[in-house]
Amino acid sequence: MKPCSTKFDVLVVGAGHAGIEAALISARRGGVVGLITLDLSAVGRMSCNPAIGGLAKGQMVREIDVLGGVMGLATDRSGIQFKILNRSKGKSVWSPRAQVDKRLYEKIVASFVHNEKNIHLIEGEVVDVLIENCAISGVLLRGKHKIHAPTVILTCGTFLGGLIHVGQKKIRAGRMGESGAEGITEALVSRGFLAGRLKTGTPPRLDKNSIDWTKVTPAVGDEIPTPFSYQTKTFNPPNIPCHTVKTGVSCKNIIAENLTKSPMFSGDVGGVGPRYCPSIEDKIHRFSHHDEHVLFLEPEWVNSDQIYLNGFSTSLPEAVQLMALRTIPGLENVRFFRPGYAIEYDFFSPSQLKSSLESKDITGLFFAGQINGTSGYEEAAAQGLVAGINAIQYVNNEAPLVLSRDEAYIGVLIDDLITKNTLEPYRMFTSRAEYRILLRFSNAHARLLQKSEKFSLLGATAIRRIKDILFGLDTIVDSLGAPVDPSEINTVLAQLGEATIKQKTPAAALLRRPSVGIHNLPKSLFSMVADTNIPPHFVYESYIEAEAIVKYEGYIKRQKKQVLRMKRQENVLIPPRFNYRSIAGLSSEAKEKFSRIKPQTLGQAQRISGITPADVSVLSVMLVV
Amino acid sequence: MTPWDTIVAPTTPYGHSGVANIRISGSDALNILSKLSGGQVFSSRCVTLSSLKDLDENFIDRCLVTLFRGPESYTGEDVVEISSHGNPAIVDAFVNAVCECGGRIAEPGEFTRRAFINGKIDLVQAEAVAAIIHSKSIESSRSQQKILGGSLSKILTSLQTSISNLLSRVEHQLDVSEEDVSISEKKTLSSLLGEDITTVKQLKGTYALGRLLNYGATAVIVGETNVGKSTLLNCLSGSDRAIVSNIPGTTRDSIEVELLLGGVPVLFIDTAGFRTTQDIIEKEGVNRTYRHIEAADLIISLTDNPGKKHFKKSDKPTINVLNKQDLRGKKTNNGRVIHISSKKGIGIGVLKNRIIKELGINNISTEMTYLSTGRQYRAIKECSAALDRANDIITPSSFDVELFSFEIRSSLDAIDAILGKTSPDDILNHVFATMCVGK
Repeated sequence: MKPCSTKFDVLVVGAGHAGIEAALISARRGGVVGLITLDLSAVGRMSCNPAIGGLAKGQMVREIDVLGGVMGLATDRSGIQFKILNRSKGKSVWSPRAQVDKRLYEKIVASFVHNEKNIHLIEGEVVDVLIENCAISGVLLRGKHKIHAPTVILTCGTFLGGLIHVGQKKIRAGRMGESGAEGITEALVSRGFLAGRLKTGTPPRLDKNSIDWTKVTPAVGDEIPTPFSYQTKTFNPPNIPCHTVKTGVSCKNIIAENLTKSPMFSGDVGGVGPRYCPSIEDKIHRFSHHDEHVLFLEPEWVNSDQIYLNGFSTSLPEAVQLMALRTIPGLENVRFFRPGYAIEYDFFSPSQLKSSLESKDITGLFFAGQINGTSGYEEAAAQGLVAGINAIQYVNNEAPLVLSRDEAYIGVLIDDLITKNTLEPYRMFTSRAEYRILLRFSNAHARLLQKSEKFSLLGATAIRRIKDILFGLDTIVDSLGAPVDPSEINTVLAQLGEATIKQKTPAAALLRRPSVGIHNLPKSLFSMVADTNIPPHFVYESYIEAEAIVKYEGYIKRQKKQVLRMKRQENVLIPPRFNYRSIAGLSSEAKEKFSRIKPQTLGQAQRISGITPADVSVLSVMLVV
Repeated sequence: MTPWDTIVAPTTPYGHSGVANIRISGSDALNILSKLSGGQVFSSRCVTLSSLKDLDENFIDRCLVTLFRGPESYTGEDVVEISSHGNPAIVDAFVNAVCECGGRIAEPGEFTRRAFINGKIDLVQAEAVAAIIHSKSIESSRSQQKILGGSLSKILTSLQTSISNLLSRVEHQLDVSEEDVSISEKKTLSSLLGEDITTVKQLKGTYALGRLLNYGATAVIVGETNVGKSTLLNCLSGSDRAIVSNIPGTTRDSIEVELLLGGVPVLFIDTAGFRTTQDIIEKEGVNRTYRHIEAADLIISLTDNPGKKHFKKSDKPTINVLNKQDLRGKKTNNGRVIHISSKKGIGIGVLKNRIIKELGINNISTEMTYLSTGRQYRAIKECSAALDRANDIITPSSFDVELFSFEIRSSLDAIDAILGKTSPDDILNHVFATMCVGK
């Protein structure tokens, strides 16, 4: 390609979920962006499962939406089934999830990128970064072309040193059928960056026509679907069912007999795999007392012949995969479009980053996505977005956007990445968020709108829409302060098995009773809500959120107290050159980790993985003396 | 302060005595000893006779010196223990000499703090050290010795493990399984919770006795004027601490005497007698009596006539005592009232036994482990309350897993406050180490 004459503010390397969020937000905030990808036709590709959201991830997509990302909008437009998970388990862990049409999703995301005039797409392979005086100044492409910019965001995904395993077969690649990238790992390692290997797996893609659909169990989405994006005005997505099957004893036996043929077990794969999304051979090996595992048959797009077999990620030889699957009712004659495989790839230890995702050593250089050792589209997109925002902050010489653990899952994600040792691909879970009662999917707007405005992440119309929705929510919450007359509610209370009331009682007090839901209250309470100009799906959601606000009031208060306590620890600063090695009471692991990671506060120090309670108390005593 | 400077302090009380002990701890302790002893060689954990001089070669004292090389020492650092003659001037000379060699005077509790920082003891054990020093009886000290040996830490750690296991199960339901909580899983959660509740309740119950052992109890003697309260106090303490006379209203201010009963320090308070009076000093005395009753663990209600009523205005444990038995001769048999004569010392043994029983001192066994500080008790109380709330959440008709988890987490936080913090990662690691991952 020709040398580039454009003057860039930001160079984004990689056009996956992290890369496109980084590029789009930078461009929308006025930056001139070079988006460098190995393959111009693969922008925003969904390389693994055909779904967005899920436990804890759904909450993050909402946050991405308020902070100006596109993942939520693209999902709403390409979703074929929407469902809230964990519905029976408490409102703060409700998590929206959508099956999507992968092709449509990719097309929508690509169109966002193509329509953004500030983004310049560049096809090529980055082999090195250009550095002047500990500051980034651009990248070097294969073929010796240099591109200059004051900031570079690396979002290389699984493409660095990618090595695919199917049984004993090995293929150098980024994704199945796409070539990998070789150069940049070595270049960065030679500049002192710490790299490691991780592995992840993907299940086989089945031929729809080889499945006996009479023997599988359908699983449909919610009747009233919930969108991801606050910007979605009309929302009538299809509700296409997925299906489930169960593995049985014969399947288990076949896999157990062939374990040694899996490169994960024969030791051929060097990287560490995720416990959270384990391969089927891992599950069989580790939980040998379980005879059954549920597998999901998910269409990859509307009318797709290709079925994604969720829950059966594997690196066994193709013949063994087939043999094992054919023991399952409904899959007796199953055929593959493509077998499951494992992929190993390079990542860079995110403890080398600040909470802005900028390198601690090279200013202007950002890392986001799988290159930081995470797994999942949502985790990648969230980081890409934050890196993109902070690249522009850096260019403008302004303070970065840092989200704290009590205001967003994204805050938890980044804080975990920079303080924890990455031993396996990092996936978000609700239990990682100690303040999750505050982090509901249904209050993402209330939590983050202010920051979004402060950093100008959304346009005026978009902000207006979110404010309208928030206003509607406030109206509902205010309405709950009104008294309810016994005649309006006693019949309902009696039906619910609750004590009836003798005098007028505030609606909120009634709602605090465990078996009373907001839909049980008299409709007349909410006459004001009808006047607001909000899409019906958000009115519906606001009722749910208002109920959570009232029912959880006491818990929310207690959690906020915990946050205050945490902030106090967060304020105990550790001197930059603190000598951990001289503290005999610290375990040698703690000494090594503290010295390497250099936590800035006692709060960060205590979250470093492998740090024991004893280490923290010793350190805290040392800091106060 | 640089972390490992060398500190020095006398470890025996200041004053004249047979022997005084001076402790030096820190990286320079050995060097300093070498300077003071003129290069004499000491082997670790051997008692050596040595003539020590200051930097100007002035002789200080001939003493016994023991060197403990770290980490096998109390603080985990190099420690030198000097046993000198018990003279404040000698002790001062040693402390000054050590400071001239680069040491500094230790702050209160600093040796123990270093033991903690160096991983020799945990927080609970550190508390026990202070308690042993301040314990007023051998029973109390024995009980703290057990804690220092790690008995309470062990109980708390096992409770912590048990509650984190429960939490792991709950989190598994929230994070991995996309299906509803099964009835059998709900039962398991409920029964695991029940076990923890029982353990915590038991532990919480031990504080009554632990508190008795370590802080003692207060018994307040009340009654009308001139029934012999002051005489009883004097009789119990075997002294004439309180002024006695046959003039009603002699005692105006409260008088306190501490006695050791069954290893427990019991503070007896003699109070101004109840009567309506115009004397403002006596009035204030009676007000004080009520305040003492408020704070007391036990009330000893005294009368001198079987026909008079006993004090009934408090629901605190009360022993009714009838005084001046010697004047009446024969006992009117009423099992609930103890008949004594403070003047002649009749029935005092029976009264003491009853006090021991009423306060629960007879239930104390030094073989048991008790919660012994207010900090520990408050944390366990918080833990217990959170578990109870969790128990209210898991009912046959409803089960909010999220709130259940919140309460379990709060209970764990409370225990962590005694032992240290459990990071969310510990919980996660546990989830995936022990359970099957669904999808």
